[in-house]
Amino acid sequence: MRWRLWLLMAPALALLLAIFAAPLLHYLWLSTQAQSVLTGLQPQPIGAQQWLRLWNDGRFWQDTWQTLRFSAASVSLEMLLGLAVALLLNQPLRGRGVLRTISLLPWALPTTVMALGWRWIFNDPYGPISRLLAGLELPAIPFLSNPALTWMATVGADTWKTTPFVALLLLAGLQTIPADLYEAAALEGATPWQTLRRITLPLLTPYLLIALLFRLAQALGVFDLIQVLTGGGPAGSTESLALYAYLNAMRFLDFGYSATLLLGSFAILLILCGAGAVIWRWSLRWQGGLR
Amino acid sequence: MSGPMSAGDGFQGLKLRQLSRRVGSHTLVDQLSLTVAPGEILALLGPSGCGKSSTLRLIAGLDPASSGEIQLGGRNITALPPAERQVAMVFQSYALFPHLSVERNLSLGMELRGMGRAEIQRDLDQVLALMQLEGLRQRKPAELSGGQRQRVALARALIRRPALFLLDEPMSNLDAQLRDNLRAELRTLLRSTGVPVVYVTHDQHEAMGLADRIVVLREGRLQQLGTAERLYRDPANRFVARFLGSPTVNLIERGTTQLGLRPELLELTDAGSPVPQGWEALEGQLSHREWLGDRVISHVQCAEQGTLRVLSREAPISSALQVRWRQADALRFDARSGERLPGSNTPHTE
Repeated sequence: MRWRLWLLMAPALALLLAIFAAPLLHYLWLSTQAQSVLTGLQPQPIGAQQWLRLWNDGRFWQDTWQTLRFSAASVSLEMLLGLAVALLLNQPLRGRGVLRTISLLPWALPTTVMALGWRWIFNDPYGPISRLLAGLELPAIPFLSNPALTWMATVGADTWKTTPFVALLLLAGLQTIPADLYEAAALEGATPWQTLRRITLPLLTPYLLIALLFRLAQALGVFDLIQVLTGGGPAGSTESLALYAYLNAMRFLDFGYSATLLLGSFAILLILCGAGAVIWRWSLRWQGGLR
Repeated sequence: MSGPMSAGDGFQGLKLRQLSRRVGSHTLVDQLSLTVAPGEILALLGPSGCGKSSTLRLIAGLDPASSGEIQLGGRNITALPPAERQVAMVFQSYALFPHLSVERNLSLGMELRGMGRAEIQRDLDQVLALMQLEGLRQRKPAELSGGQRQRVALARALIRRPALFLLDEPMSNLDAQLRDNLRAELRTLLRSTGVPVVYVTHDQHEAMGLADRIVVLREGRLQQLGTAERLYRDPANRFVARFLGSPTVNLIERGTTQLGLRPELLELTDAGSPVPQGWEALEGQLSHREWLGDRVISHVQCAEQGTLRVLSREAPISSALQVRWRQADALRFDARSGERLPGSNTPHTE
C-alpha cells in the first residue's frame, strides 16, 4: 500500500525536485568546475579549487560581513518600527482605514522605483536633503560617497520600504488577540507596559517570528535595492553577497565561481536559520509552550 | 467615610443612581437605578441588546458612564479606572490568558500588584483547592474542558477577594446538563463570598434559580425589579410577563385590554361543559401535544383567539375542548402600551 502514498505525492515531489533540488545540485556540480572566459566558457573539472578560492577571497568575507551588518541593522529597525506602527494602527483611531492604506504605500512600490527615488533624495549637490541643508547654510552630507554613511543610507531606504510589511503582518497578529483579554488584564490592574509585556508580546510571538524569518531571508539576499541605490559602492563598501555573485556571473562571466559564491551564501543562510530555529524552540520552552 | 471621593450614604453594597450610557444617538443604558446588598445575587435579565452587558461593563469600568453614579461600599467609583474598583469579572468567553497555565492565570494579577511569592502561593493553594483545580495547575486553557475553564475563570475572580462580583453569562458556553448541575453549586459559592453579585443572563431559568432578585431590562430601561416569584406572578407589564415562564404566557384580546393567561393556570375539560361562576372559558380544537414526561403542553386552537398553550399533568382525552380559567388568575394589560392594568388579579404576597 505504501507505493500508493508515493504515487500520490509524486507530482508535488517532482515539482519540488525540479524547482529546488535540481538547480542546487547543478550548482554543486558547477562549483567543482572552471567555467569562465579563460576556459572558453566550457566547463572544466577542477575539484575543490573554487571552494579554496572562496575561503581565501577577502571580498567574499567582506561582503558577508556587510550583508550581515545590513540585515541585522535593517531587520531590527523594521521589527521595532513595524511593531510600533502595528500597535498604533490597532488603536481605535479616527480614519484608521486611511492610515492603514497610506502606511502600506512604501511596500507597494517596486524596489527599483523607490531605490531611484532615494538615490535622488540622497544626491549630493542637487537632491532635496542637500538643498535643504544648503538653504540652512549647513554643509552637505555625502550620503552616497562616504562608506560609513552609505551603508546607513541603504539600511534607511530598506527600513522605509519594508517596515509596512512587518507592520501589516504584526497588525494581523494583534487582531487575533481577543479584546476581553485586555479587559481582563485591565481589571487585574495591568499598566499599558505590563499589558504589552505580559499579554500582547507573548501572544504575538508566532507573528514576530514569522516576520523575522521572512525579513531575514529577504535581507540576506538583498540585491535590487543596493544595485540601484549604490551599485555596491563606494569602493565596494555596500556590496552584498548576492550582488557579488551576480557580478561574477554577469560581468566577469565566471560561472563556476558565481555558483560557489551562491552556495556559500546559501550555507550562511542555513546556519542562521538553524540558529534561529534553536532560539525559537528555546524561547517556547522558556514561555512554557505556546499554542 | 468622608472626603471628595465619598458621596456615599453608608450603604455597603452596590448602588446605581440614574446610570446611563449613550453612544451617538443610541442609549444603551437608560437612567438605571438599583441596589445590590452584600451577599445578594442580582440577575440582570433580558434579550440580547437589552443593555444588560452594557450595564455590567459600566460597573466594571470598562466603558465610561454618560451620566449617573455608581457607588460601591459607600464610595463613588464612577470615575475610577477598572483596577481601582476592586471588582472581579467573569467574562462570557472566560477571557483566560491562552499562553499561561491555570496557576499563572490566577497569579498574574497578584504578580502585577507586586505581592510576595509566599503570599501568592498561599492564596493560590487555597483557591485551587476550593475550586478543585489542584490537578490542573500546569494545564493551558486549551487543554481544559468547558466546565474546567469556567472554574478557572471563577477562581481567577475569587482570588482577588473583590468587593463586587460581576458575571457575564458565565454558563452560556456550557452544555445544558452541566448548566443545570452547576446552578446550585455556583449559587452557594457566590453567596459564600459575602459581597454583592451582579449576574447577567438571558436565560430565565438561570436567573430564577440563581438570583435573589431579578432585574428585567428592555432597551436599556428597567422594566421591573423583584424576586423571581414577584416578577412571575405580578409582572409590571406584558414584556416581563412574556419574558418569564415557559411555555410563554398566553395573550388573548379583549377589546382594548389583553389578558395574560399562564399555561399552568388553564384547565381543560370537554367542550360544552358548564362554566362555573367567576370563571371564563373558550372552546377549541386540540391541534397537537408536547409530552414533557411529567407534564403535557396541549396546543388548543380557539377560533379567532388563536392557539392557547395549556400545561397540565394529564393529556386531554377528547379533541373538542373547553379551556377555562379563574377570572382572578388572568393578568390584564393595556393592549396598546402593554402596561399592566390595576385590579386584575389577586396580587400574591412574597
